[in-house]
Amino acid sequence: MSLLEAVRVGRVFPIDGPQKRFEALKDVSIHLEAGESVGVLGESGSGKSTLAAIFGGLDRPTSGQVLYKGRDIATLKGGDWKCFRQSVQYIFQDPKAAMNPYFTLRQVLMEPLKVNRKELSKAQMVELVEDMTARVGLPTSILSRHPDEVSGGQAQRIITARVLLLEPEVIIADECVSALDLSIQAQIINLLRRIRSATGASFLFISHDADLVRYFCDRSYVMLHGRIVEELGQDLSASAKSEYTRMLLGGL
Amino acid sequence: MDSRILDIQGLCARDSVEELLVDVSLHVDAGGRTAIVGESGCGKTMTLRALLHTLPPDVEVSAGRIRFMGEDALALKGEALRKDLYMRIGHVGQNTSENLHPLLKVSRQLTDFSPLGRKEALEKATALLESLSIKDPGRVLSSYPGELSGGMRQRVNMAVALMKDAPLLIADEPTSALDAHVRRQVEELYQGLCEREGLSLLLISHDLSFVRRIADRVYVMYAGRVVEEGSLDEVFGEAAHPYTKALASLSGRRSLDRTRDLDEIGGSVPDKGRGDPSCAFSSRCPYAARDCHNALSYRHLGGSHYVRCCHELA
Ligand SMILES: Nc1ncnc2c1ncn2[C@@H]1O[C@H](COP(=O)(O)OP(=O)(O)OP(=O)(O)O)[C@@H](O)[C@H]1O
Ligand SMILES: [Mg+2]
Repeated sequence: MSLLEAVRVGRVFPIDGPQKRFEALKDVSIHLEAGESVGVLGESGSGKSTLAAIFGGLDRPTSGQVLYKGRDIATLKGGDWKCFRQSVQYIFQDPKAAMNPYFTLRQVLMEPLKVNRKELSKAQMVELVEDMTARVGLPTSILSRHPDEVSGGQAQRIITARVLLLEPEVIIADECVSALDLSIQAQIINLLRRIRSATGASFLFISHDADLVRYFCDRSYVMLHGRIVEELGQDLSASAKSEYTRMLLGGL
Repeated sequence: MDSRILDIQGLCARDSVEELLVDVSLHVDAGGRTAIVGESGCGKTMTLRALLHTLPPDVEVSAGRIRFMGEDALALKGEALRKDLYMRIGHVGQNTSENLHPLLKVSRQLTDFSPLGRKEALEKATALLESLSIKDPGRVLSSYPGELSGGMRQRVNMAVALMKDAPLLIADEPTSALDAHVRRQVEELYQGLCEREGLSLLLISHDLSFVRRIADRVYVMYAGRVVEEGSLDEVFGEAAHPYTKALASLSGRRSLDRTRDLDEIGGSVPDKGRGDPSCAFSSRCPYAARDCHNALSYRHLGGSHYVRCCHELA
């Protein structure tokens, strides 16, 4: 039994225009094992983010299922659903959209602890928050600012800190460093790798940077037009068979 | 006639607590391609926001001037602001969801402000999307922004900026969501526009290989200041600031070794306040020495190459 699994997932969006519907995912099956890091590659618009949202329970498939430890997440209720939502966390492509604009960054980081880690005292939470802020490479003075008062890269690091504070089992990272400069990319990736070896967290790692996928992941899926078209081993290029995949990898 | 389409001199900006930009001077030659590079949060976007009159409400320009096509850009108001600034600058913002209206179809956002007739405007929009490697422009045009993927939205954003045929294009991290293949297309498009149509470009990007292929002049910013400037060859060929050197060596990494951590520039920007005249990079600098804590001057190295560092590294 996989930790998290998508079984023949489809997603159809109703759209304006002559077609009326758009099939963003077609019959997609993927699995993620405990402790594994799996990459998703594919051209822009191929369905990576749509798949990630469904895999993380943020969107529902129009066909097929997502299984968490063997159970269809559509059937989870109450405590089980809460447990799933806490165990599977998401680092988005657009960090500011994921924050309440009226919160200070301190509140952004405290909020999930207050909900999910009720056993901690206020002082312990503050300490955890400040410690994590430093670990993502930000000064703690930044915590009194609001999301629109920090740069995109700083916002992305706050979101990363928020996810790590919850100590999830699965982290779905959708282009989580593509907006950042290389030094901060490296800082975040190094931090994710340290967290991974300390906690054994699993990753679904979506990126258009094939070098980074090769560096971070154990194996990968390649998407095109809403389908998985190839599965690759850790070394990517050595196992790539199709022209399309070689173009994705060789674009650099 | 002014040889500089955009000329920023001594720009300072601050919010209620601290200084954000300190004495930023930079220019774009008419027909030139200037790039600003530097760490996230160093003030690149803030500089553009001062020009575009889109600073956050509590941030104000406290000194300096900005001339754009001969006008005092900071003084423009109302109709003149629209006509003399917004109509003459194509702006590709960093955050695509902020820049596109969520409730308007892409086709309207591309054509509404075009001086062309509706039909021609649509044809032009379609051609632009195609040149940006969008395979089904018809569907994209009839979509709302929320129905597009991140990389598609980024390219729609670029197309919106190019619809105006403005003489200056400002692009803030225009390719961060795009794969290498599409990034090539964007490079070609920009190069073509600069060469054939005389477009001037102000580019912000953390992708140094993209900058290298497009820009002819580079500014390196750190903690709210320009720390090095010069032609592309001067700045990347003879990098004089330790921070520039560190950036360049990072972007050289391409075969990543899984057994090791990725290289980073250790430490972080100090909290000492950007107005402090000593070097803000010294706490992370391999060459740091006592002199770095004195007030630094901006040294001329020859040609158009300047650096804000007291070491002779060349
Ligand atoms: N809500 C929606 N309504 C209609 N179509 C949608 C919707 N969301 C996504 N799509 C379409 O589904 C396709 C896949 O989008 P998705 O965001 O998954 O792509 P992606 O692989 O993540 O691309 P990128 O690399 O650009 O982020 C796109 O063609 C997109 O236009
Ligand atoms: Mg995406």
